[in-house]
Amino acid sequence: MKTALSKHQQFITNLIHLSLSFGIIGMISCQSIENKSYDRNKLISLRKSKIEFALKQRMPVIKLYEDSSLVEYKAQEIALSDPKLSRLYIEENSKKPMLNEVFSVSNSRPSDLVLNQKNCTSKNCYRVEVYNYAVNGMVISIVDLISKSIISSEFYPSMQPDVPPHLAELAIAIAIEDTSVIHAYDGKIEPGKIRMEATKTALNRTKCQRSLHLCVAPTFVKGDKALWAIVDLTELKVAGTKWTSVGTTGMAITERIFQNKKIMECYCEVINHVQKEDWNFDFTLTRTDGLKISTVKYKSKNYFNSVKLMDWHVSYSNTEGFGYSDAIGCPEYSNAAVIAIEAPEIKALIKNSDTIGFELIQYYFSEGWPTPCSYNYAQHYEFYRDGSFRPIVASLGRGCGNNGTYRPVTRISFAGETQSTECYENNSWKSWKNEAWTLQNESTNYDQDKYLFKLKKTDGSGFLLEANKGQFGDGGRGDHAYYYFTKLHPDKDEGEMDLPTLGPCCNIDYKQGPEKFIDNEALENSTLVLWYVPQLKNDNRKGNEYCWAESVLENGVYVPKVYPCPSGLKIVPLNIEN
Amino acid sequence: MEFRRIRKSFILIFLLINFVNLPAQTCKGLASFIAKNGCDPSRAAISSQESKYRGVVLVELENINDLTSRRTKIVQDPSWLMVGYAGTVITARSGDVFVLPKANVNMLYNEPKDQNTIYCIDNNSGKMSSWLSIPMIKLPHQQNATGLLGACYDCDLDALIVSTIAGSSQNEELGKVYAIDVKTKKYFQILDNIDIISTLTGRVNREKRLYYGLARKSEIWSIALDPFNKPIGEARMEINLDGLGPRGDDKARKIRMDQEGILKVFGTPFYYNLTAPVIRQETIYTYQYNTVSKRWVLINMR
Repeated sequence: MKTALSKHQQFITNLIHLSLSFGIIGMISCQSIENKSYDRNKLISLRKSKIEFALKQRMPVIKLYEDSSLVEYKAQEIALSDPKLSRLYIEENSKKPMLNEVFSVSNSRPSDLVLNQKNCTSKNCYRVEVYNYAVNGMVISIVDLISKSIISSEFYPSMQPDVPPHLAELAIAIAIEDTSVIHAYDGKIEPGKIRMEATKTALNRTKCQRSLHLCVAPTFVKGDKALWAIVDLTELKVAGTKWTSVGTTGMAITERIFQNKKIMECYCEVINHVQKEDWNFDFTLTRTDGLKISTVKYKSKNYFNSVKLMDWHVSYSNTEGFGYSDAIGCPEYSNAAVIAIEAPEIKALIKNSDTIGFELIQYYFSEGWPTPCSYNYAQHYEFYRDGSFRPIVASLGRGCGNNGTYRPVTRISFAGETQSTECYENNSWKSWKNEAWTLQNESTNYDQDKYLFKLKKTDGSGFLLEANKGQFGDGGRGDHAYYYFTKLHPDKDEGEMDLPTLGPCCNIDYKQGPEKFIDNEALENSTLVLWYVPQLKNDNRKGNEYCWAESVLENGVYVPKVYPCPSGLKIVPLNIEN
Repeated sequence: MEFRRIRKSFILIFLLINFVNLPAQTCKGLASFIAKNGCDPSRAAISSQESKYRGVVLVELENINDLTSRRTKIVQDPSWLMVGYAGTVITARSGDVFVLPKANVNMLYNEPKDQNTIYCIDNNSGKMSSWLSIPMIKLPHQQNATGLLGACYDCDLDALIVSTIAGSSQNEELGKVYAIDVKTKKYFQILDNIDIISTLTGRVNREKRLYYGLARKSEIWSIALDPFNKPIGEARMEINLDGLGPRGDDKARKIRMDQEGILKVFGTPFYYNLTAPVIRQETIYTYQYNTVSKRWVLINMR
């Protein structure tokens, strides 16, 4: 083995062994690293070429040894020829290759001997560890070089072997060149400076529990703190960074811990403010009601007190009463079942190559997605330059079956008093005097073929509500939505605060929760709340997928392929259209 | 051959010296209602984790040693729904079955005010009723839907040892552990202001201790108990799961000890939310006590 490794690689190997020998993952073990420059792009490019090459082979495996004169090479080849491994090479249904890599070939350990065989001694028996990137599991094979036979081979799901030196080197290269690491470290970690006494590094183990990828954590010490960079070696990127105190044996830094802490500290425990283009608003991630925007203003005009997503109701038609009622929100200390694991994003809103505003996006994830019965949701708040606003919510599958109906409950609290509320019925605007609900269906008619409601405010402004019939060009197929108008009470809470689950999963009528707040109160000259509940049927038929997700093999690893079902009305200021 | 025999003997002596057998607490009774419901008691179990079922169900398994094996019978008395979604299930010496509530996905069937209520299925009638409600300083709320969480049965005193995290929040740890006399329903507090996810009483080196898994860290601690289950002295950390297993951030959801003193720790993620993973993320960590090093030694993970 030693002949196959460069001096530098041997150093890294020693570093890993030293780091792992402490036994407790997460312990900051520090060793200075030799002065070496890392060409990240070159290493990544080489890595991708290796992957590409491996995936074209009969056995899609990145081998550790290529020199056929080495005993390790022979052991590697015996292990890889195991017929049992064929199921880890090619996916049965798609016939696509799965990426594997030999991580180590070494003399079998005394502890391996119990697995086997009298004739196996450390001289003729080798232990070969192969990692499968697609299914995130490892195979440990014990092979006998003399008889050229496989003594044992065992697959261990959800287990990852220690990374070989070249992957350790790659991880460090990815980390020190990454902008998030540079930003967190407050400057680039120059390889030359790594030798400085105050700046040391080690490679720690970590876990990527959500992506189920192979991850390691190069750790850089600065003063009395250590920066953990979680490097995803499946996707060749940094998955997160976190500072810890040196010398403490605190919690290991893993993908989930990093993600949760970031979301909690940056979005759950604080209110963020956005002032962009002509829009001005606050946003925060709630414990049960998704991403909430509040005090929303356009050109200094008050639009909404708040907008948020209360619940997702999912029912399945083949089993009466079977389904789930999910709250979404913060990943820790919350009543959410589907949680935010990535930060919200603000992106330009582009339609037909024109930037027409911006959008605030938040995704939610349940463990195991996109396996059956897991869920993934999205919220997009679209802010248009012309003053229009669209709260979009989407399911990204996959759910428990192909006969599901999603009914998300969005709550929109309009700012100021609304003088009158009108609904377009039988080709004319009719005033709604009292709290009520209606269902958008095939017989619904619309003003100008799109507007269903008109709200006139006391200051002369107001909104038209454009119903979703699938015309928004976002892939949505129409909402068939329930609209509920209720009066906002300053003296009692009807959903302004975080609410636990509002309604059960499986009511197929208007009883989705907001009806609880309808008690025939007058709407005129009141502050209004609109509850909006679209009904989205999922579909898994080939070519028709909707509210659906699948895992597909791409470049040897599984990636989710999603078929979102976006929903949501558009709120248009009256001065534009009337 | 001689060498091998000597080596075997050495290993045996080593094991005898270093790993003592610990008395397990085995006084679990057999509920009469199991047979009355037409189930084979040798293959039956009360489950709170059956897909598409709320409350608890009586399941008859094809293989009792494999809890994932085919269910040959599933029975649910209508009264067993009153708990809402359920968590820990403990069978007493009498055969009465104690059930703790545990919200699942949402709180629709688990009212905050009921999350510190222990329910009991009567050994004979098979009917569930509310057995004991432990007062809460604060009701479960938007940061934490859970009340009662961990439980074990103490055979020495016929006591239920339960933990509750009712009212705890991100910044406030209000958890408590109680010992409840199952005959009189009288209870007292063993631990305070600490969130605990699992409990177990056991003897190590002839000393009775309460083992408990923390809710906020991947650690198991213990504290000595006197003959009346009152805590004595300082608590100490016994096992650290941090970084272990496929996830590396498991909390000790359940701790159990077998007749040989082998400790089984059922590790699972716990972050004070209602996330319900489709595939149960659980690893069983098996530990044996080494009397020389006075430490629990990990011997298996699966």
